[in-house]
Amino acid sequence: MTEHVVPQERDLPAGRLSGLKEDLMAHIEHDLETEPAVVPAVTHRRWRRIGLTAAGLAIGFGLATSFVAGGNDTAGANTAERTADGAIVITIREGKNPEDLERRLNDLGVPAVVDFLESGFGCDRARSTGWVQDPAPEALFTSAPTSLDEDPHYVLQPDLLPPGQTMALEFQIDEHGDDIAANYTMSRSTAPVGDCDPVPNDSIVDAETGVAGG
Amino acid sequence: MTPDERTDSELWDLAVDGVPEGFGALFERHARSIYNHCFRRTASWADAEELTSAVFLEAWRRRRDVQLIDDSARPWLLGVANNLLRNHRRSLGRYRAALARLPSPAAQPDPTDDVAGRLADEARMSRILDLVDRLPRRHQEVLALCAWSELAYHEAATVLGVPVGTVRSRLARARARLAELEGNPPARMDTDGVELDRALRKVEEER
Repeated sequence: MTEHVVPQERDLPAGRLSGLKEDLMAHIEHDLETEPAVVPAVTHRRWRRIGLTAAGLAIGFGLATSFVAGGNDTAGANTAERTADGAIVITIREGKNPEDLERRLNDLGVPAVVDFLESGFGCDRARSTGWVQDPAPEALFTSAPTSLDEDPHYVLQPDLLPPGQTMALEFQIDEHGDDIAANYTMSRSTAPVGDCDPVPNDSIVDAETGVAGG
Repeated sequence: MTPDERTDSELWDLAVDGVPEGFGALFERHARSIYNHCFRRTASWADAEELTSAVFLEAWRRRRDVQLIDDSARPWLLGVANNLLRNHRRSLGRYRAALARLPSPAAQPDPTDDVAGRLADEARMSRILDLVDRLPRRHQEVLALCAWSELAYHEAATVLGVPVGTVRSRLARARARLAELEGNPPARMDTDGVELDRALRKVEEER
């Protein structure tokens, strides 16, 4: 058993705590400087939502997070693949054809609706009266750690979605040359959901500068 | 009142409001815990250092999503670490790329650091992980969060998004399986695997 005693905790090496903090604070300052001060006005020309909610599906509110990545394979289609442990890995390679991704998720047994929007926009919350207000389980839908030379991908744990709830996945996607950046909002609802009416929000996605958030 | 005297909740509110100093204080408060958690999952102090930065960078990006538990950010930060550790090589690559736009700080020479001791830590932790890696990932995560980083069951349940009972059962199974792998029959432990837990949490006193 001695061989399996966990080593004693240590401090960061001398000077590294302050060094890491300096790095972090510099990055934060950079983030704050690059955040747009004004949300762009709504115009339907800016809205590139392609997919549409299937009638009668219920979706919900609960979790929003963000992720950015640069990809080199924007010619490929978006995918959703089940892994050996039951999770579903979603990879975003292009900012179009969300209906294909939605259909694929439905085929995998996940009641989900998918919409693609541009940076700075989300779907009007009035499209459902049954948003689930409780926080979603942390692991239900997460952005997978991804390097900047990979396409954005996410991990969905379908077993954590309670029966009767449907996921609404809103992706803000920006493409610049071969780069693609994505931000998502995951919601859940127990009531039917209408079409997505895009309204301004604080999402920020810019593939050129490598910024995503919201 | 200095930032260090404020609660995690107060500091996090500052961060969400765009006051970086609040987040800096949270970093100083919790970096050591995250650093050691990451080490115990990677057996590399160097990776743990970079992962610590990556955890806080990701936490900053997701600062509006934080779920404080008992007014502490530590469980949520460990949850962020948990997610990054699922593929820590790619996490580090992403983090390095994100920081590449910023000037790099000068390397910090560290002549006083216990280099030999850290190498010994890494060798010991590698041997432990050789064993622990044979458990299902969900069991590894519960073991690391509850037994090594000493999260309460309800904290780990929130972090992992599973019921408290699931945390308890996963931990018990992890301990039982570890006992088997070490050649110790599970019958030596009580239902919570306390004996193995004590051994796993015990610090290296002989050093």
